[in-house]
Amino acid sequence: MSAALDRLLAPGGLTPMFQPVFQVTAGTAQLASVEALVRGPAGSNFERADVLFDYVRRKRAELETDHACLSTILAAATLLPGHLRFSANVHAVTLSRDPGFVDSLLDRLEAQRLSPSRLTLEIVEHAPAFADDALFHTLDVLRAIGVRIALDDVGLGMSNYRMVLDLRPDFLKIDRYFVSGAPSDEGRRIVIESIELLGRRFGARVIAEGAETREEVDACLGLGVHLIQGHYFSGALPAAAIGSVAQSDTASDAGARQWRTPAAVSGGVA
Amino acid sequence: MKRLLIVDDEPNVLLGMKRYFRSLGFEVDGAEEREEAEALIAHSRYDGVILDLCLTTGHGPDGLEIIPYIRSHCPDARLLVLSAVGAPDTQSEAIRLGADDYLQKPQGLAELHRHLRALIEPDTPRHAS
Repeated sequence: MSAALDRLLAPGGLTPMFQPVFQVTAGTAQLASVEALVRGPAGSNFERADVLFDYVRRKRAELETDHACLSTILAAATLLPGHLRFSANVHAVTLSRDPGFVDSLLDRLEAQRLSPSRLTLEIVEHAPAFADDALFHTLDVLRAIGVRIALDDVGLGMSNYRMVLDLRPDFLKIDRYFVSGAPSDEGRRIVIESIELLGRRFGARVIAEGAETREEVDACLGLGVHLIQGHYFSGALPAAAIGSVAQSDTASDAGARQWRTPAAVSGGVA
Repeated sequence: MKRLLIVDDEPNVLLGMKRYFRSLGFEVDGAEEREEAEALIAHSRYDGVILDLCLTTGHGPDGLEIIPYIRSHCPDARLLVLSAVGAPDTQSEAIRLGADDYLQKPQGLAELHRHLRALIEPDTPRHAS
């Protein structure tokens, strides 16, 4: 431990925001779920998520940090619209090396009166070294209580075919690296298309992350990916603000989120 | 605007240096420990780094150990190292590992700035000489 890490993991050191994931179909984009994104204290280096989690891994403090993140995420999730699904990131090492993870998760869910079936755990930093029997057992138990599993950053680093095969996730999340620039890069589109096929054949839903332009959304839709997360639709919001996003989706004049798939539109924004 | 990373495990010293260099127009990040500095370097670009060699993590000074990381991940950054350690061996080791300049603490902030300016003025890029 260090003073900086102590401050980070102390109550109030971490702040959860929630970024919507939209189900985009002909005519509309409907709020499907939200991903919890945790940030460190405002004004500190750890306000940046990349620096925060890189630092945590260098300190080998993934377990403590995952527990602190889950506590703050679950507390905030009580402010989300009822029944809306939400996801939280967790390191593979935590699932593999912490035999008490599921028990503590259940305790926290119960304390916040949240159903496990609303939760998806997104596995990050999944080195093969952690893909062991302990991890598989933990995933089995999580699934048994209703928690779903997502594989984050598919296509990058260790998030590869082996992890799809071993973990059998319910969701594959395509990293923004492939989504950004996809409209003008056939190579990126080929990768997205292959992940969509992979998900379909394994029975996993595919989510494209980091869609920031209409063209990137169109590219994903054209390749069969209809769950889309990114600033084009919405950035990360406080839990209490997600309700307004959900309400606007149900309005008959959905405004900026009204949508047509590329096949149904000859040009321009619907 | 030039980007500067200051690495010093003394919070008050770090805060004072950050304020001083910001007042001079630098964009400044600060780190109190090695892992924090490395996480910043991994995800940022810096024109200059001021590194206190006397960082401690409970098992002795490890400022020297950051230098190769800085050199490999931020090869164009100019590196000014500070240390209260007067041993010539430490100075020569820091230079051997890739430091561009070396100052013994304590130094006034103006003197620090003078050395830094000599390293990262626009007309003195790292690979110019």
